[in-house]
Amino acid sequence: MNQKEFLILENLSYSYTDRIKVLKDINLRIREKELIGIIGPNGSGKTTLLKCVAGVLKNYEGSIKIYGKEINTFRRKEIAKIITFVSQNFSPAFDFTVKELIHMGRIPYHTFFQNSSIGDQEIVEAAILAMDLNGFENRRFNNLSEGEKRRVVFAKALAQDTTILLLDEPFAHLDINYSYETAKLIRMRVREFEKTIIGVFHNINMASLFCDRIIVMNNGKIIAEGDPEKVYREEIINEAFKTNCTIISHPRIKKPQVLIDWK
Amino acid sequence: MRRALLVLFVMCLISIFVLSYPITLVDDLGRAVTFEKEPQRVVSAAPVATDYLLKLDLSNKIVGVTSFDSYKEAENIGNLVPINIEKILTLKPDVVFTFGGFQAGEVEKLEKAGLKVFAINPRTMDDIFRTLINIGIIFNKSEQAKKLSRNLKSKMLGVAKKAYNVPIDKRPRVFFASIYQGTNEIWTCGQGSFLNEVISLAGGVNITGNYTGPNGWLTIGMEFVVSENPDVILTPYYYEGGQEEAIKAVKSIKLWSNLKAIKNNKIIPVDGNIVSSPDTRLVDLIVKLYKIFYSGGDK
Amino acid sequence: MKGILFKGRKLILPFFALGIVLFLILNLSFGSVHIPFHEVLLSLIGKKIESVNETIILNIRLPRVLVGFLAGASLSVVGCAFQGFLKNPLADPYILGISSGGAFGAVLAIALQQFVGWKWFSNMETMSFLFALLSTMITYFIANNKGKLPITQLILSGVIVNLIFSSATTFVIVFYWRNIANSTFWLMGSLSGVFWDDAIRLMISSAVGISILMFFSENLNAMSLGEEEAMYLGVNVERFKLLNFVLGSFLTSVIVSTIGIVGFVGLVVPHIARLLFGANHKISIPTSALIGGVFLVTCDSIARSLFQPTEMPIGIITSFIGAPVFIFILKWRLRS
Repeated sequence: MNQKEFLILENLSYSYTDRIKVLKDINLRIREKELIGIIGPNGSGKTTLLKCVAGVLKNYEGSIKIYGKEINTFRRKEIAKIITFVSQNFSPAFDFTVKELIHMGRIPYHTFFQNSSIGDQEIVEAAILAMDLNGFENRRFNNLSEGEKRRVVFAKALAQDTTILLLDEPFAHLDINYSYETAKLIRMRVREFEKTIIGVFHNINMASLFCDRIIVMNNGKIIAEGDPEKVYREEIINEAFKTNCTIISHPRIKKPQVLIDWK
Repeated sequence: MRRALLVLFVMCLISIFVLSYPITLVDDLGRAVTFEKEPQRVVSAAPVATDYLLKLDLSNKIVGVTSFDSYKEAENIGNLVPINIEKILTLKPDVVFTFGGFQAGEVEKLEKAGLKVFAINPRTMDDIFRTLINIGIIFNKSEQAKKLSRNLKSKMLGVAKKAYNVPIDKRPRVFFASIYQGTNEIWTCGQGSFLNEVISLAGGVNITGNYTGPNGWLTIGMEFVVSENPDVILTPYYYEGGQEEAIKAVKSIKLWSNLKAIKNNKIIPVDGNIVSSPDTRLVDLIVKLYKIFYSGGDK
Repeated sequence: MKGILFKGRKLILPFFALGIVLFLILNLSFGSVHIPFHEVLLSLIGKKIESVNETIILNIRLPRVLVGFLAGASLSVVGCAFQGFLKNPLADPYILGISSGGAFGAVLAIALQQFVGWKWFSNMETMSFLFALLSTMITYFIANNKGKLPITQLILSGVIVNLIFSSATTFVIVFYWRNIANSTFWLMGSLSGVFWDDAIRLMISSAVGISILMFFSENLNAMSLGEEEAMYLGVNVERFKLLNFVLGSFLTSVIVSTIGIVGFVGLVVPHIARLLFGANHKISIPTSALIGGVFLVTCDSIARSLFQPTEMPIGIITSFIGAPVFIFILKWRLRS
């Protein structure tokens, strides 16, 4: 791993109100093409961290630099060409078609007078192909299954053609078969398209399978980070999630998996 | 001699100027309106205007009236507001008469459509006589108008002079009640309304004469009427035979059952089309009211 | 499947436009005065016909039909944009109280004209715009719940703002009725007595307003995914919302101060446009404009022909058609 560190968080703190700090002194250096998973209990600050990086929460303390430039000095449109955000809830107000939605990923590249840009068509085609959505182009979004809907959302994110994809519990609402299938497909495509991913995961076992590097958060702080084998230790998981667990290695994939004790 | 001739010449000039067209008059919206010739086709866009035209025997010139007019011998042009400009245009009138401030916006529209408009807005008895003369001048009937207005005025003053001689405390205390059934809203006439003047001229004391509202009209609470305890209540009816119903409406207000006017059966129905329209018919109303107030001779 | 009429849009659109022009010409022959259709055509191509009929067609009905078309188009586009960026299918200038705010401003300006010499405060269009903007803001802030606009809350706050400004309008009318034409005009709307100056004013404002919203149709698409989604797509959400509020208030106030309050157009038409041509704002904005124009011109033809020579307020007709659609959408949305 000798890629450049292009996203650097230094002494990052954030509070919604004046008193309680949701993030405390976060330091993180992220290299290109890394797949990073953030895990931790509810209220540990995972999503807040993600939104700070997305440039939505601007009045943070400390610094978030992307390619050497502070994130809150970017114009919204410039950020949208570098970072995209895939949230767990995606419900358009109107019944758009699949193709219309994926095309919306191109909006950051358009201007007031020009509602299209060179290469739109090719990139959208590629995104459709990548997410196995051929033949779905003119279907209506609301008529798709949950798994298909997720694929459309990711195709839109790929069409946005950004370096970084931020995922906020992207597979939370899916049935177990859909969620693992979709996750596998996305991991494969993200590698192909050479994207960097920072994702918040509820399912810590999936995080272990999906990510190169895991960050464990608790009470707004990073309590452990490193590759899954290093981080998935009983004392760390027990401390973060206030639970008793056993860690085993996946018999075929050799990645750590967490089993919760049932006393 | 030359001087005398010059004076004569100037006088001739003035007389031509005064007595012949074009005539320029200022209407009640303060607009100068010029008539190049005697108008032959007239649209009366408000029932009030129709009365003046009829009084001056101009019915043959009326080509259009609103659907609210009691005069039905001309083409119906629909509402007072919004005014139907298309319909009026097809009638090709030489002048359109409008009434009051609430049609002021319509005046502008009519003018944009290339029509000549004369707005009247009489608010006092004097205004009514002046309006009569103005309309007389427009139709080259100023002599007839002057004569008519003189007669009406003397008729009115004949009653008014008698009424003035009655001491204030001997005069009947009068309340005008226009009751909107269903909402129980009661409109009455206050300071500045022509009906207030009519009541005063006929020798009555209007119990709401100290109050006022838009154009002098206002709504009034029932309790106020109880506290004032009027001797006479006037109430309008709007169709022939509606008198009984109008009286019943006043009697149906329980709060008023002890009023002097109701106990003494002094509820007087008056023609609603007359009391809501400031025109020459009010003179007859004054005479009629005087007789009602002082029937049985002056005490 | 994009929309029922979407397939082969390049072929359909010119016919659609031609059909609309023919339809507008057809409407020139409706009214309280009967004018045969061939006379309408003759006068339009500059041939001499009877002078009264010519005046009626060229100076009364033509601007009237144009104002109707432009007002319907603008109201529908504002409705379409508001539904998109508020992510709320029931948003419309009337429901949100913008129209009543604008009407109050206009009526207040007329009332003030006799007291205040300073032109700015007695200018009808300016006052109408300021109060339209104010009412928009009030509705928005009452309904806003941590950045979300729940459907029911938005409607309730719209009802409240509507009530406040309608009462205020009636109040001003009661006190100054000598100067203010007619309360039904302001509260129910009428196209009676509009002329070329009104038509030209509306042409300019509609052209500016509608084309700006058309240029921003991609942002509207993004906004209809939700405010956060729009942000991630590079939309400056706060600025875009402000732009929509200002533009919507501007278009609405110009219409209200010309023809009074006309309800439900902005609500119903965008739904029809989306049903026929799909949800994409690049298409639903211009088609809303066309359908809205045709809708209001039709309503006006009904209003002026049904009980001739008396004209009905146009708001009655649009409400008769719009209210059932409103109820349908509300029921259907709350269920899903």
